[in-house]
Formats: sequence, C-alpha cells, structure tokens
Amino acid sequence: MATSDPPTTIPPGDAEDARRAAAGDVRAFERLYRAHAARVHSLARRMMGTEDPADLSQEVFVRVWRKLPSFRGESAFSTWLHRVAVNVILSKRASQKTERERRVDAEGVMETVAAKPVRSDERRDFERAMLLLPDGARRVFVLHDVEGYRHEEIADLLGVTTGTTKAQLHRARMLLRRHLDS
Amino acid sequence: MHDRFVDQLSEYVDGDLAAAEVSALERHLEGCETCRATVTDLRRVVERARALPVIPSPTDQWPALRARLAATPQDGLDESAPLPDVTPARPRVIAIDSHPHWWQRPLTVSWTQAAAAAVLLIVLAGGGAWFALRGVGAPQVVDGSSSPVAVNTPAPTETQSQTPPDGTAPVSSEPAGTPLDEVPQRGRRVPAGTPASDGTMALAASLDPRYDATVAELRQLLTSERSQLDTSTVRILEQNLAVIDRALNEAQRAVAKDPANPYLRAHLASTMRRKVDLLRRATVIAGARG
Repeated sequence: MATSDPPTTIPPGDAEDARRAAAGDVRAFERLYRAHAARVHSLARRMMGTEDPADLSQEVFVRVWRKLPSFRGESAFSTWLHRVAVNVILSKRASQKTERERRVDAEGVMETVAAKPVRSDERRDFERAMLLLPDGARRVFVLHDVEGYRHEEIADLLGVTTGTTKAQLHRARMLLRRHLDS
Repeated sequence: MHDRFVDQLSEYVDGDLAAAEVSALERHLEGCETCRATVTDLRRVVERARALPVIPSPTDQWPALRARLAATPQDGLDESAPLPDVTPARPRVIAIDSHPHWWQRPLTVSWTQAAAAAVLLIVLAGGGAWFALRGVGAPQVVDGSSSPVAVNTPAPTETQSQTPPDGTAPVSSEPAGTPLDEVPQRGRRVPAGTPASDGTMALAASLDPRYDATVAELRQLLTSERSQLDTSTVRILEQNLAVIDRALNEAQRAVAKDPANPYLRAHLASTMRRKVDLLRRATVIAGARG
C-alpha cells in the first residue's frame, strides 16, 4: 500500500536546512543552530576544560556558516558539523595554550582529580573531574569515550600516534575511576 | 610484571588487545584481585562517559551569533563538484539531483534542447554583457581570468585562497558565464570606478529588468519543459524556488536599510545568482529528458 506524501507542515530536516542555509537562509541556519548548539557547547566545554565556552561555540557556528556551501552531503550534517567543531576547538587549543596548562603541574591536577567526590551529585562530580584532567588526557578521553571517535581518528586529529592516544586514554580513565561512587 | 598488565587494562576493556595478550592478561587477572577491581572500575568509567548528557549553554547565544553572521560572508560554492547529495530516502529537496547527472546520459539533442540551449546562451551572455557594461568604467581583471563576469560589489584588493582545515572541499572560483556574481571574498574583478559611488548597486541589480527578464525567460523555458519532469520533482523545485525568493526578499530589505554594507550586497548578489543557477540547472535537466 502506497504511503501518502508527508504533510508540508513537517519541519524541514537537517539536510534541507543545510541546503537552505548554504543559500543564505538565516532562519534555516537558526534551526540548525538550535538543534545542535547543546552538543557543540558540551563538546567545547569538555574539550577545553572550561565551564562556559560560549565564544568558542559561536566560533564553531560561524565557521559552519562560512563552510556550508562546500558541504557536499557525503555524510550526515550532524557528522560534518561535529568534525568542523572538533577542528575549530583543536585549532583553538593549538593557537593558545591555556593558563592552566602553563601554570599547573600535572601531578597537582592528578591529585585534585583523584580526590573522592564529596557531593552526592555523581554526574556533576564526574564532569568536574573531567575538566580537571590534564589537557592531553582529557582531549583523548572526550573524543574516545564521550564522542565515540576511534584511536586512529583521534591520532589523526591530534597529529600523534595511536600509542600516545591509548596511553592518554588509560591515564584519564585511571584518574577518573577514583571519582566513581563506591 | 604487574605494571605491564595494568597498562593494558584499558585496551583489554576496549577489546583492542591481540588474542595472545588477552590470554596472558586473563591468566594474570585470575590471580590479581586489584587488577580485576580496576577492570570493573574502568568499565564503569566508560559507561559513565557514554551516558553523559549534552549540556546546553546557560544563555541563548543566537542573538550574538546572528550579529556575527551578518558580518560573515559564506564561502563560494565549488561548482566543479556535484551538488550535495542530501536527499533523504523520501526525496524532499532538489529531487533533480537524485537523477543521473545529465552529462552522464547519452547525448541526444532534440529541437527543444537546441532551442533551450540557444535561449540560455542568449540570456546568460546578455546578462553577463549587461552587467559588464553597466559598471562605472571598465572592470579590471584581478586574477587574470578571461571570464566576462563583472562584479558589482566592492571587492577586496587581493584574491583570497581559502583551504578549509576541516576536511571539507577546497573552495573554487565562481563559474564563468553566470550573469550574477558574488564576492567580496572571491575578489575576481574590481570595478575601476569608486565603489562608494555606486553604493546601491546590488540593490539596483536586484531590481534590474535584465535579471527579471533572465529569470522570466528561464521560467518560461522550464514551463515548456516541465512535462519532462515528474510531479514530485516539479513540486520540490517550486518549493526551493520559494525558499530562495524568501531569502531574496530578506536580502533586498536588508540592503535597502544598509545599502553601503558590502556583505549584505554580496549576499544579495549571491542569492540572485543561486536562483538563476537553480533555474538554469532545472531547464538543462528537463531539456535532457525531452
């Protein structure tokens, strides 16, 4: 039995909005922004280790806006956007070493992270512990365990070997495991 | 010995160890309670990470972002590449892209195709010539291109080459033979006259009878050939034209409010060009099916 066409009131999906936005339709871009802003915000926050990466999130979407006309649709829009976001965030990190990276020695951070949580909000404590991880370990942990990238992809993104990414991941997990509730 | 196994525990949890390494590690785990507990913890860490929710920004960033977008021109399309294949299982957008490319079909030229091509050439050449001739003074070639395209927006003084670092396709130049061109970031030609002397040029172009005539003739062509397209394609084409028209209206209003803004004018020219381009592609495909 043939199905009827969907009603025209159905909101356009990402693919159609991406096409419209690539033609300069700001309203379509706003829909894309609202659909994906939280994920980009989360990624930026966790990758950068900062509570409020609003400027960086905006930078990601400005880059997406600029590059949309070259989006070929060879992958889902969300996948493409995520890749752009990771690149923007990593390039940001490469261009500016954070104050924390310069000032805090790794062992101090490890001790801070390794402390047992005192709050009952385990998820929030886990998030905070993540933010306090050494930069290299945190980036790999976020990309691998939170975002689902493979070691080969992470190594390619970071310009390191998979041996390094595996070591960083293990380091991050070993630190974070102490933040699990008993 | 113990430390060597500890270092392998994450890979063990991820299933990344070779069979021989797994066997050796599991023999070690049988006798090492500490490592067994660590494996359990590591699995919980992974589960916790995978279950983390997205965290929305505490404030609405859209107004600030919108303001930044107004000053951010989009990169040009790579016209040498096929249009994005973003059509979902149920074609909703530009269904003409889901058909085989017209240049992949056997070349058979009907009289309607010949007529379409002839009119198209006249329209595009006429449009290009008109845009070239109506500028203040002769346009100067910046990059040595022999394209007859003239730009009616103040262009930057140097050609920019942008290679996206995000794995996307490099941006190519605009195609020749299009009556409407966009800049400012492309910078192919610079009007010899003072740009400021023609502050409303983009707006004037949007109201220009030559553009209207181009669109009208392409629409007429499309109407005569639309029987060659299936109904869903025609419907989607009309929907996309409506979207572009809305964007065009917005762009015209924005330029009317701020006629000296080069980004708004470039955006308007870009939108106009996209409309012509969509119509042109549709007529070519319809003609190829005739």
